[in-house]
Amino acid sequence: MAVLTKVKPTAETLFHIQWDWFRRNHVDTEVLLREQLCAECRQALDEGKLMGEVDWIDPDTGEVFRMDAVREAILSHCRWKPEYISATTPLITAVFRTLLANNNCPLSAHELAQRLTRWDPETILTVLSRGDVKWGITPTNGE
Amino acid sequence: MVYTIQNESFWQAWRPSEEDMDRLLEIFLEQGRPLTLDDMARALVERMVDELKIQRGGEADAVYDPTLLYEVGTRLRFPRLNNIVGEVVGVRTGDNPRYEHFSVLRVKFAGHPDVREFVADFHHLHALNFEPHAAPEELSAEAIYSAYRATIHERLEAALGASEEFVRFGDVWLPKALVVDINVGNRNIAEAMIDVMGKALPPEELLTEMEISDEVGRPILIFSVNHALAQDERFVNRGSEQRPLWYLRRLEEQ
Ligand SMILES: [Zn+2]
Repeated sequence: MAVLTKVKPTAETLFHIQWDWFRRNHVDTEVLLREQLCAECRQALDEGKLMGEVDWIDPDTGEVFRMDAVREAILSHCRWKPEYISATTPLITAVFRTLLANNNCPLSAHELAQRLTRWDPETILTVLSRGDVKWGITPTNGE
Repeated sequence: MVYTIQNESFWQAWRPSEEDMDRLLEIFLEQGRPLTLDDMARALVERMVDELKIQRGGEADAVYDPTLLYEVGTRLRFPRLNNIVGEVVGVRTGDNPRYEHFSVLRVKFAGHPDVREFVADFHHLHALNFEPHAAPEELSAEAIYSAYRATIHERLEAALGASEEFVRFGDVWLPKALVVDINVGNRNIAEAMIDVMGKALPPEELLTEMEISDEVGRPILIFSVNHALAQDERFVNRGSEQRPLWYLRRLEEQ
């Protein structure tokens, strides 16, 4: 019989957003995603311009994926705004937004620190792995 | 994005595998002659490249460029996706108000049930992290070979030397399985010929009197004679490894 052990995460452990976590914790992800929109896109949303699904173009490959318009706006527009992750964005929000901008492709604390230059890998790792799961951010092997 | 075998790190870590040695055997069977290290290394890289092309879905008509539109039936290679090759099976209008008119290619990859989609006729280059016009280097055996020739030679020579399945004479090699047995009777004939002529003789001449079928071809026969005589203490090579001239040790000592 296989013994399941909880491996202590390291700076190389990959983290991602586990969307299921929000459902289990009764957090409305649609509301959460809207909160990540920039002012311009929030206005577009209010005007009914961010409706339904659209084509999202993966900038690294040119591959097209169908995606809801709010998420596509974050990936193609808001993430490039300076206020998406600013000098006052709290660490967890910054990590969440970085993963979101990465289309939830897993990143390690080490990689996150390279993108979020305000914190070192150890600090990020400590915040992500100490206590309860925050914002659904879990190690990829933790499912 | 380039193929793994185009990277220096691949060749730095490369040690010929069982599979590579099997490839070499096939190369010898096809060519039917002894080969130099250079012949072998070149043919091996060519074979690896051919296999990779087949594995990636075959030859492509074009390298995918998101600014262009392709017809249904076009086979595209995707340098940003490990160079996989897929066929355009459909084209639809793009659906995103953020960009003015663009198209979406529906692409089918061999062995994958799902059709994947790629942007086409797309001119918002700021939305892409790659340079669409920069055609990536084609996968060329010749280019790989000339870039990593020294390393490939070194590793191959070490593997051949350690293998019991290959034998060498001078700068050419042959799998043991293809070497023709020059039995003691034929070696005695060679000894008698040299004795009678009183001079060193090339393998081609020695072969004229030996009783051996010619069906494997002259190059393998000549290699086999050279290899056999080199192992037989009665004989000594007075020529070079490229142009051997066989003589008798006992006549030399007189
Ligand atoms: Zn925005």
